[in-house]
Amino acid sequence: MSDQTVPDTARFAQQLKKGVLEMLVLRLLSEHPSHGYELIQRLRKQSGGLLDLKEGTLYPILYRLEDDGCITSAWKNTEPGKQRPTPRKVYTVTPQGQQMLIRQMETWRAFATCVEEFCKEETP
Amino acid sequence: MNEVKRYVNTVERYLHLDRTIRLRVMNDLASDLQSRLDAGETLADIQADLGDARTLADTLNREFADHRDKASPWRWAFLALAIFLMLVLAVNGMTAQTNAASIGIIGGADGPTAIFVSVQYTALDLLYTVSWPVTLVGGYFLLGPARRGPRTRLLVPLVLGGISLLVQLAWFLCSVWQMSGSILVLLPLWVGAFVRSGIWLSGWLLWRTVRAWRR
Repeated sequence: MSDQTVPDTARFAQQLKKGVLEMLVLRLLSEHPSHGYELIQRLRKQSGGLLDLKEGTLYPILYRLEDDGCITSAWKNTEPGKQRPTPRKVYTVTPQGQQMLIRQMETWRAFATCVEEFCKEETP
Repeated sequence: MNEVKRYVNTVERYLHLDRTIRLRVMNDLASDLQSRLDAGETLADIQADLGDARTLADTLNREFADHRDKASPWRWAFLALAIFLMLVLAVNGMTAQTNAASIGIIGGADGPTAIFVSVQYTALDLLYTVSWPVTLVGGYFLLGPARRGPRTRLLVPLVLGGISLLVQLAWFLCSVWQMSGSILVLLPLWVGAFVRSGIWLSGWLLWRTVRAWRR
């Protein structure tokens, strides 16, 4: 393995992540509304640590989705039992976002199947 | 808790994003940092994960490169006007030097009190005249260099604006003191003196600087 291989692999993985993160965030939010940090934790946990996002990477995705009308945000009390609860900025998927998620998942499945076909062939 | 607040404030200070995006980012960051604290993380844990405040701000600036807060183009108008006024002052100063001797002779003929009054008025008048370009230079700093980097950069417009305001206030009061007549006659003169004093400009400069400082 050459010295160049590791950074190249990392860049490839990063590009793949970038491409699917929007869909994954929509997917997680369609399960239940969450605030930013909760999304980061859920992504990390469900991906087994592969998708270890930071706030700086998540916010542009959230704002893009919000500006496109796919999600909405509101300050909510996430701990009703707590004596002095601090409200959190919670994101929720809109019907438009649900439609977008369905379309993105269809595209992803078609894309993944296509790539899988290529990968099945014997590599040179 | 105060340390976390300081951390958040420092991040905000180094964020060079437009107002709308900065507000969104700061809201989310405040919410998420609170969540991290509630989850048992300390400031050291947060810094280990996100980096120090400067690093986090740099990351956010990079991620939102399309929303960078550009320095106001009005800063050049402030600077140009300040240079123009300073040039006018320099030319006037040279002209005044030739007239100074005659003023001294006239003052001397009227007596020592006249010299004292004449000199005192000239000094305040000179300070007042200089206060205009000083305020404009302060405005240039506020709209340009002080928008970036550490908050201490705001001390430049703060000090320049403060000094100008004091001088202009003194000049305005002196001008008003020397006027006499009924209130109906004086009122437009007071308004005129207030406009000429430049208090409104240095006041604006101080107000904007304090707002930027507290942000």
